[in-house]
Amino acid sequence: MLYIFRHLSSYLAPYKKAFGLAVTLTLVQNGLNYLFPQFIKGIFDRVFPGIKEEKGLLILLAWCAGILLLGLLRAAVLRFGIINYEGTANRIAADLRNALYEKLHKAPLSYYGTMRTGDLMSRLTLDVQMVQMFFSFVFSHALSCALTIGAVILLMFLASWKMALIVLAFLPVIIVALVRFSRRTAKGVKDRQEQAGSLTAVLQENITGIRVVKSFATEEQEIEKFREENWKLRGANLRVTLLNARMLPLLILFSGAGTLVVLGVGGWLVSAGEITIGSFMAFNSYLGLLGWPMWMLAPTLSHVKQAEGSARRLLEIFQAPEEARPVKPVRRVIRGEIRFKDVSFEYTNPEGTVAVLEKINLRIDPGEKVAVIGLTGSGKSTLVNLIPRLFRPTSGKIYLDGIDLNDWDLDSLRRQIGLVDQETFLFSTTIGENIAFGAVETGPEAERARAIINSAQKARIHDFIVSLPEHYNTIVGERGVGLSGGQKQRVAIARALFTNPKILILDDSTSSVDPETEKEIQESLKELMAGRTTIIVTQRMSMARLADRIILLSSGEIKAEGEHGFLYDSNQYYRLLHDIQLKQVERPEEELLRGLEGL
Amino acid sequence: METLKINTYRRLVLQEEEEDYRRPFNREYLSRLARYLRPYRKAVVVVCLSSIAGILFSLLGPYLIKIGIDEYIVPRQMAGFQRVILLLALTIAGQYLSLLLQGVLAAKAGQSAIFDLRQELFNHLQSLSLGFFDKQKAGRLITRVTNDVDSLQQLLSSGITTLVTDTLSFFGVFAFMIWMDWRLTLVTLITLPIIIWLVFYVRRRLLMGWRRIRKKLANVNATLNESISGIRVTKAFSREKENYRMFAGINNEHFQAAQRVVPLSGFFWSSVNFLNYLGTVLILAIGGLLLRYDWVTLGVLAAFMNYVNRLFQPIMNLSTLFNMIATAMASCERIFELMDIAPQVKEVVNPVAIGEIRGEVEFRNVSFKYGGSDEVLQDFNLHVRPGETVALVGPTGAGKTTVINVLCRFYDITGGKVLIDGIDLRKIALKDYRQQIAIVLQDNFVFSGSIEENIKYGKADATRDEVIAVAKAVGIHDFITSLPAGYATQVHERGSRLSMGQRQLLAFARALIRDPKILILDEATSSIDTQTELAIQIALKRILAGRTAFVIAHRLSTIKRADRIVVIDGGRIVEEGKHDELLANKDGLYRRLYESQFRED
Repeated sequence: MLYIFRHLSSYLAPYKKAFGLAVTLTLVQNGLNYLFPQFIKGIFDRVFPGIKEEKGLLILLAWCAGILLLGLLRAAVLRFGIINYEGTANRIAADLRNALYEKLHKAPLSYYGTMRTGDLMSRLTLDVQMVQMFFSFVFSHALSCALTIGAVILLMFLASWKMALIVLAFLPVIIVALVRFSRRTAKGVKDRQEQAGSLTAVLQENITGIRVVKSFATEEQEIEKFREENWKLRGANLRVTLLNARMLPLLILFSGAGTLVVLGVGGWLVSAGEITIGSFMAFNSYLGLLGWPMWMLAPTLSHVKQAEGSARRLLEIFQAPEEARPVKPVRRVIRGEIRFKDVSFEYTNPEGTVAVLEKINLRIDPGEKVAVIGLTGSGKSTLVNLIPRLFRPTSGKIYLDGIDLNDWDLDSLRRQIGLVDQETFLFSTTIGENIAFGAVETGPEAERARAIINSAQKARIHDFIVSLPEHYNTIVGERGVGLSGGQKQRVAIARALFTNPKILILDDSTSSVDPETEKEIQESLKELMAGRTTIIVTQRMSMARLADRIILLSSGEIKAEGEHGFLYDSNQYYRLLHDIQLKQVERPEEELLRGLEGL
Repeated sequence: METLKINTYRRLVLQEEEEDYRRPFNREYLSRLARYLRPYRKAVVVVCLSSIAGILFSLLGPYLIKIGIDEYIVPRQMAGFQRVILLLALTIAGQYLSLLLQGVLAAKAGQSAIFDLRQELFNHLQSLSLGFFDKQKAGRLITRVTNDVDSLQQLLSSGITTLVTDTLSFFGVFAFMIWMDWRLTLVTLITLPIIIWLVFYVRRRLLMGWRRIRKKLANVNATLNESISGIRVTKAFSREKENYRMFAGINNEHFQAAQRVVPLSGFFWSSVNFLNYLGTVLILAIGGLLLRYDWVTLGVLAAFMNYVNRLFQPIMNLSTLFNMIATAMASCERIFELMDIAPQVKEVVNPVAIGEIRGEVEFRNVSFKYGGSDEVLQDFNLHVRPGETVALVGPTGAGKTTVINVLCRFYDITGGKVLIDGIDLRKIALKDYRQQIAIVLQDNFVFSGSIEENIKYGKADATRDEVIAVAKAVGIHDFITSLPAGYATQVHERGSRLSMGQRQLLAFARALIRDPKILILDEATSSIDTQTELAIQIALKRILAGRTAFVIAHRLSTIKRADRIVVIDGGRIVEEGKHDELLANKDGLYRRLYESQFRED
């Protein structure tokens, strides 16, 4: 519990008054709890015996009014307590979500390579909720439990220390049992979550892979696989439910045992004249006060434990690295001269360190069009990702317009670079908004709309968009209309053009389109590249031929570079690659493959 | 063009709001749901009986305490006191055992019923044809099998106990109170309407508020999910600050919804609390009056104080149950609606036994359309001899994939016939047929599990040697053995560790291991590097040999090797023949397609 307060103190700090008030109200409320039995006792002991006297009813009414007042006071205390607790909890949760969201945006892209989306999501949703619950009621319940147990012990000792000792001898057993239950519940809940996750994974695979399932007629096999997970989930669910089902009777047993002891021992003590009947009755009612904390203790403790785990996972996110930003950032219009000097890039995974780029030296002039070709895993994508600083080199320097890339203002840099990826991610919003994604400054609406249409026309997607029922206002993305690979790609090109970038990067951007579409895109690209430094990463010779200069990358090193004619004449590998793709080579594939591998 | 109105107002489309407003009680759904408890009816009966026993024991306890105090402790008459203690101990033990029995059995019965329901739903999904899945979003189906079924869990496991126990204890306590003193019982009835208003009306409003919060939270989560998935684009376009603003807005909506419920929540709990005081005060005040005229005894008054609270708890529990049922109605409706969907492709009642097929395929005057769309295939005629390789070529949307969908009988044709070895496809048992065909898809879906398991997917009882043999045949064996864990290497849905080309080869192995008589390939358009492409072509040659094959071909080498090229446009065959023959037709579609892809300098 302390862990949460210690590490989330900065989120609690702005609301410490409200939270402090709420805690004070809990204390008051706990105090008031002990007044009620006093009133009842008073009425039975003092008012009812004299009820037949002249003023008997008046006195009774006065006492009743007292109880009502107490009730109103308690209700008011409870109400403001709830309002302050829940209000604080809601605010803390909202602040936490905003802070986590911003923190995630500040983390470098490499961070996302180490974290699974599902894991991040569960932290941002379930764990935040858990912390919210902690501040909303778990803490106050824990506090009330502790206060009540403490007070009852004290009162018992005041009433009769002998009986108190006897009853208290049981207390450790009960508390140990409850704590164990709470631990097992916390673990059970966690197991259940994991099992539910693994069932969902199997289900999701089945549904996304349903074509394979159907075509292989493996429905029965799939049903077996699911049954196994389903059975495990039943077990995990059952364990949690059974824990609850066993705890309830156990609590009854505990309180019954308490009653038995009080009745038996107390009866004996009373008859022996050791204690008075009044003390005995008082004792009996104190035992009743323990009912609520006993009920609440196990679930509260298990909630506290879960909240601690949640807080820990949230802190891990806050401790994630952030993208470096220069102290004196350079903001200016990019000319487009790029220079790589001894640039290397490597990453570390559990299996060791992998070198992706090794001592790359490269110079691209303003307005030049360069294609990077190479096998899968040759480092092509990494190379271009270094330019908008999505990745940072492990060693070496990159200069943009003669200025160290690291000194450029990150926003200024990225806004002047247009990036079209291999797989296009579209957001679940209108197609128009997706195109205008990169423009933060909102100009006059009409102008903006014109610019959107203009970009779409250049990317040759306008005609398609106006064929959609809601034109540019058609929702796309995961929750909207599904677009084909080629359509998405063209939206991505329009999106990159909308910002009028000084540098255009096409990262394998025609891979998911059919040959006809590719040809069309290539036509439009020619126009788009004019006047911009352009880097084309590709597997296809037809794309590479759009460039002034071609760079052949292999295992992270530049193997050859130059104009097409030069490479075709001087590089056997390049020539073979080119001919296999663009000419009809009448030789068996085995021979061609051996040829490529040999070079 | 200028008139196009573009909505430049920034918005993010949020999760489709699942309609989950409370449904009226639907008796049919409830009884259908109750049917899942039928296999466990013995347990249910025992649960009900032990609930009743539990109530009796719980009523007996306080009575014994009262006797102990009034007849033994107060008069200090300890003779026979042990008997009271013993009886009390037995009562407590009885209460413990009956509660334990009830809880354990209810949990088991409920969880078993949930297991059955979930399994039945999944089995039903497996029986549905592909046409159904093409129209559904995967996320929705997943929600049906997970969340919707989960939301019935509590109802099925504790619902019956609550219904029995709390109804009984409410009426039991009520009867007991009337028996003791009907006048005081009437007094307690004064607060009853307020209590019922609170727990049924106010609480319902509270629940609706929570539901609003959950919806807003779903929006927050959807936004988060999208932001994380699209982080690369956001960074590349430097849209962070804009995102913060957007998220803060959505987050604030959730916060506001939560804050709106806070006063109501404070009101509800404090009112419930106050009503306890009010009930007690009413009994004390009126009871005092009655006491003045000797109409009640002190003992009865004391007992009533106890029972007032006992009357309250069952009402609270029953309101929880009713809310549970109301919420469950929405889930029930979604689940049962799904279960009531019949598969479009129906198995014939008395299928023709086919044995091993030769692989002769004939499309005879086939026409087909999806749902309400135009005809995708029209008067489609194609006769393929056993062992022949046919390349399907045509522009996007020409109907190539539909030919394959129909051939695999993922969909039933709307007109004409598909004949396999001369037998109408609709007269063959689906399983008999599909076990002899194999399809390799463009997206090369890989299941989580080891590489070996993935290859064996096509034939569960394949031996290790068979697995290795097909891996060698498609040319991926060397790659697999180069991995540290070899064939045991774990792969995932997204196929991490595997490149596109490797996934395609794996899919080939998966298809080849069943030694299919008809093989269907949907070639990937993705740019895999030339070396991998050559490797695939080499594998293809071996795979296609000796079986009937349909290939949606994009690669020239595949097309050229085909025995026949079928050019499809607008759902019809427009050209047919060998590569060179088709190329000779200067105005032909084939030549146009060819030239757009392969240019000579």
